[in-house]
Amino acid sequence: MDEVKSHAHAYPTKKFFVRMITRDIDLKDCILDLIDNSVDNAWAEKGGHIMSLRDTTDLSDFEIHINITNDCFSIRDNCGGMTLDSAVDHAFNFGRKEFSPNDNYSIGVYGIGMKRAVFKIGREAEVRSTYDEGGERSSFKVPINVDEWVHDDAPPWDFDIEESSDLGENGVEIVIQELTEEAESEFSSPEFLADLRWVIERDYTLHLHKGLNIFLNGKRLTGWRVELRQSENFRPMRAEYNDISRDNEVVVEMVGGMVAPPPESVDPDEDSKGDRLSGWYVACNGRIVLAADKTETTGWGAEGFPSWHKQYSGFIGIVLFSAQNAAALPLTTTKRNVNSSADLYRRARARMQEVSRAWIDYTNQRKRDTESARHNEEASRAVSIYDIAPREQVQLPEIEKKPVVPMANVSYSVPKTKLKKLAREMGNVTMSYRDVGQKSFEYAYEDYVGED
Amino acid sequence: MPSFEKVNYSLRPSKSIQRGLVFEGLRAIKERLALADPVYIGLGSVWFSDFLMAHSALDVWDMVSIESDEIGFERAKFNCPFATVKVKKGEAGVVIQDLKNGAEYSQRPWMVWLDYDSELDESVCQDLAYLNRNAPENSVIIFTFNAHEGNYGKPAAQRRSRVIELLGRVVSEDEPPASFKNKYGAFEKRLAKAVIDHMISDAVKCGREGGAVPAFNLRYKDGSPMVTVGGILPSKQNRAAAEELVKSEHWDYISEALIAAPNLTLLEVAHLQKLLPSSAPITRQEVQTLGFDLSDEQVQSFQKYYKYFPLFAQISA
Ligand SMILES: Nc1ncnc2c1ncn2[C@@H]1O[C@H](COP(=O)(O)OP(=O)(O)O)[C@@H](O)[C@H]1O
Ligand SMILES: [Mg+2]
Repeated sequence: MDEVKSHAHAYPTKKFFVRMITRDIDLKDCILDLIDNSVDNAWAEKGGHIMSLRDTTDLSDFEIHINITNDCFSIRDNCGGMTLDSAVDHAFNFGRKEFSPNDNYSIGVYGIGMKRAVFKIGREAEVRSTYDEGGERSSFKVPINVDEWVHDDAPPWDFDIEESSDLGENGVEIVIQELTEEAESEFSSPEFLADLRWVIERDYTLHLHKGLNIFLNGKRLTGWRVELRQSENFRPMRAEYNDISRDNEVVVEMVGGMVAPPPESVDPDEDSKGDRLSGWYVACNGRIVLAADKTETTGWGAEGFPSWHKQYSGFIGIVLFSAQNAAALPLTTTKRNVNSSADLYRRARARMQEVSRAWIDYTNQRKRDTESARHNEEASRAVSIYDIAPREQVQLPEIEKKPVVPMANVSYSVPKTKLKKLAREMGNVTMSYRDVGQKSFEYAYEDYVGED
Repeated sequence: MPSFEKVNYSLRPSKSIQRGLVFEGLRAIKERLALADPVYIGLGSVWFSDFLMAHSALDVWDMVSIESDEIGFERAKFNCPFATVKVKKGEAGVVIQDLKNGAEYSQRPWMVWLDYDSELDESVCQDLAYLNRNAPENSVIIFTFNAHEGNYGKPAAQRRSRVIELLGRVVSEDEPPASFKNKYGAFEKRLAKAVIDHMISDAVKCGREGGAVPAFNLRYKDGSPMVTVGGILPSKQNRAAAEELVKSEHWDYISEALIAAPNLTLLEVAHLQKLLPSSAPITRQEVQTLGFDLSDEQVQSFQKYYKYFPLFAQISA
């Protein structure tokens, strides 16, 4: 009898592997993975310390240039470059070692981002690096031809490293061509580019605030200016505590409060920017991974807690988790969400819900006297999140019950085009539906009834 | 006011020129992509100027004219120029949905020209979205709308908000308001570009494999400034050919220049035409020798576009 076959092969094929790792991630998030790598290197150059709201590290020496055309993607940074050793030992590995000494409050953690981005974007890539070692500049390049690479499944899976001329500055340049169908089609869309810009400006707000220069097709991006409203009656909260996750110390910072008065209209059809921006933002080592969240992930609609409602628009909360070893953070591999089953995160969420709760109560209360509430709200001034004074809970005004005048709610539908024309003639084409209705009523009232 | 109440716009010279250019472009697309048996869909009003062209210049047989006005509908049926033109009553969006659902038109390329007199508004955007999602492969969709800046609010910053409201993120909130002022047609151009960018983005967003290839961007002015924009929605296989076509040197239908043709009398046209074709520019002096006078721009404009002028000679012949 033949030798008994007692082992089944369990190696993946490269094709399967490439398909799997690129499947559940959005193209934009792959591009962000590449930015993360540049940022991580820049941050390491600056000593790799905690990036708290208080931190004042200057990143203005660093530049990241992203260029996207219909048939080519490139990213280039001057953040110091990767060394040959790092390329040989781990940069092109799939997966990182659990703890590596270069974990310096980095965003990268899973050891997959760069490779996955290449596969997602195109079939022909070249990674070039120029770096300093012992005062001398060296360079190398790693060409990747994906079709060729997937051809041979036999381990070890590796990429050839070749000699290269120096880049202008020490840094990394990645050029990707022969775009995948998805990338080709998205890159042709002006809206995709606008969205990408929006996402970068949002998710690297903290870095951009520190002066980091990111250019998209030559245009310098600016981070969001996040400001919460403050006055005698209104004060945003700002708190900080230390926690432990997977034996690592994690610093948790939280700010929350009012960015804008709650909306006058909660009509679900009326698109409001205020509502789109409201909600919770979660950052891991400075990078925003969840934005304007209104779902159970950040506590809304979780057991015993109200679901998000347009009435709550105007609220923004930000939580920052920072740890030397990013593996301790509630990051998902796509960096587009948080792992909400992590205890660290759950503890933070309970705290976040207290902040949300105060706001929910306030928006309910203010219905008693919206007019004076609005008056109060508008009297507040905007304070940058970096300048908010510590306080455990948001301060919101108590609203007295006003003697009730019986009110009638009027509601009707008209063709949108007509409403817009009327708004235009009333002097503001972007006026809210509610205001158009109100003004029309006043106009008609005055015409039919005259002065009160 | 329904458009049929207005002047017969086959006599508006800039409009005619623009129409001539559009059909020339459509003919090139039809040939290049070898479009078999396309359907022309338009707003024929009671004049059917574009339908006459669709038949003569493109040899399109089946045509659908959409008319929402009660009286206009009866008049359109009465004025219907060919046996193969069907007049359908209703709003463009609704009628187009019916066409999509019926077997007769749903498998053939469409050439849709929604030639509005009014400004770009939510309902036009809805038509655009609907066409992007439903027009059969290799269709061409074209929109004309009024680009007079006052229709979009004032001042410029508010106009920018309005365009964002209509077309989304292809316009950014921090764009300088200057491009929304109408100096030298800046606003018209900005609006046209925004519609085109939106059309391309939306085609990607709704999963059209061949995307949208912009093919028309024309501005003209008889009274109000009007903008005509449009694109091809090619099949995946035809995308490269479509792109190559619109990028070719002779593609004159994407242009920054404003078409503003002089209003000329029959007699003037007849005399000017006798000097043409000519590779040298006609001068004002030459016009004066003919016995009348025109400004330099008017002469240039006529020379550039005389082939698209309303065919007075045919009528008088
Ligand atoms: N722009 C860059 N500058 C310096 N090093 C880089 C750069 N991009 C990638 N690397 C190196 O490649 C490694 C692998 O990157 P990646 O696949 O994104 O995984 P991760 O960031 O999780 O480690 C990084 O850890 C880093 O050492
Ligand atoms: Mg990474």
